[in-house]
Amino acid sequence: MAEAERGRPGRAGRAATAAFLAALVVSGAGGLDAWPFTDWRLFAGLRRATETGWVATAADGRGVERAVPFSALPRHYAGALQLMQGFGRLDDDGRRELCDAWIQAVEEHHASAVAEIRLYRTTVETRSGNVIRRSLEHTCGRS
Amino acid sequence: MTALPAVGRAHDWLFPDAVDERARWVRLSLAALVGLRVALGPYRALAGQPEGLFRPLGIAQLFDRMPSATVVVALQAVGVVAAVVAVAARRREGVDRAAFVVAWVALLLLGSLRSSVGKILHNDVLLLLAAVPFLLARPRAVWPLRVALVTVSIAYFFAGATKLRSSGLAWVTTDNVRFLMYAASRSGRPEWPSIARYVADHAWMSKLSAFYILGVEVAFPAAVFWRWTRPLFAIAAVFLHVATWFTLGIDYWLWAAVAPLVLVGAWRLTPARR
Repeated sequence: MAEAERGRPGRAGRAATAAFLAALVVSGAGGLDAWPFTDWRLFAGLRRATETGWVATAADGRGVERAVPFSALPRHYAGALQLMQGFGRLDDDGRRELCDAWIQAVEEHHASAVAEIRLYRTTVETRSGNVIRRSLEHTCGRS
Repeated sequence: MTALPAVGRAHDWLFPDAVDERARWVRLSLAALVGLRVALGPYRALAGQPEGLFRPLGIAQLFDRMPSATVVVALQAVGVVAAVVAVAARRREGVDRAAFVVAWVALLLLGSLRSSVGKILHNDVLLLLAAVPFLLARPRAVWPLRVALVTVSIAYFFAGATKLRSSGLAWVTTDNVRFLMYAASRSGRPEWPSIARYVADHAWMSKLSAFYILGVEVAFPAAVFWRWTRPLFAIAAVFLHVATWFTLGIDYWLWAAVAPLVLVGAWRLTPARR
């Protein structure tokens, strides 16, 4: 009996566990976003025949562009798509910091100078990957 | 009024006066997984991130920028040593618990830093959350195993529920997964992109995959109520994550380890209906 009694947590432990489970449910329902409590958004959005997205290019002094190779850059550039999506909501300092980081990464990767970064909103045919439409949304140069 | 007896039954089921050797083994295995993840996770690659890219989430908000490689490696070293102590000192209650907490905090920090690059990542989340009830419990107590079972079930259930909330049944009935596979086959992530392409080229296979994924996720809480379903959900979860790796190239091996560990560990425990 004494052995069995040691198995049950005290009142505080039970209250903490209940709060933990409640936080899991609330975050799952979208009411709390405090990592590691999340709403478990794993491929939740609907994919369609055409998808809108973002592409970044780096232009040199003559205006010649090439795509920013995010997938070939170090892991800390992995959130590039989300950062591009939120670029328009950043203040001037935020944009400048982000732009400087991307320019530096491209210059180091390609070993050539970059004059500006251009962010395009794209519409892509999902099956082939062909870009159907693209519109220039933002440009930024080195600060 | 009618809800109160149900709450009482849930309380009694979650917190039984019981100990079981299986709970100790699940706890030790989770501690070993935390150590492995801290040692082998891709955290060192985060160091050197330019300040402008840092988007801290959760506990990473304690930092004003991504920590240096020295700090990341130090965190890994502390986490690994603590996990080894948590496993090796399993007969010294108190020492093993404290060590497990230290290893868990190291993983929490490293995982939150990894999610601070602009994209929310879930790779470490299931292990972190499933381990929570074991952190302060006595080694053989049964209740953490039951809480972990509920935690894992909630995680999978909401992964499905969020799909339904965002996309409705169209997540299954349309070509959604087919297009997901086409995109994955071009993403550069899968080792063999032809597998995703093959699934995408066969519409029935894409629809079946979608039905399977959503079905497993939404039905997962059944594992809490019917004991016989636990090994089935363990197999289903492993298959889901292995298939995800082959088709999408996304590494969820930690989920593929945690889910069966908790489900098989809880297999012989009494279901929640009693």
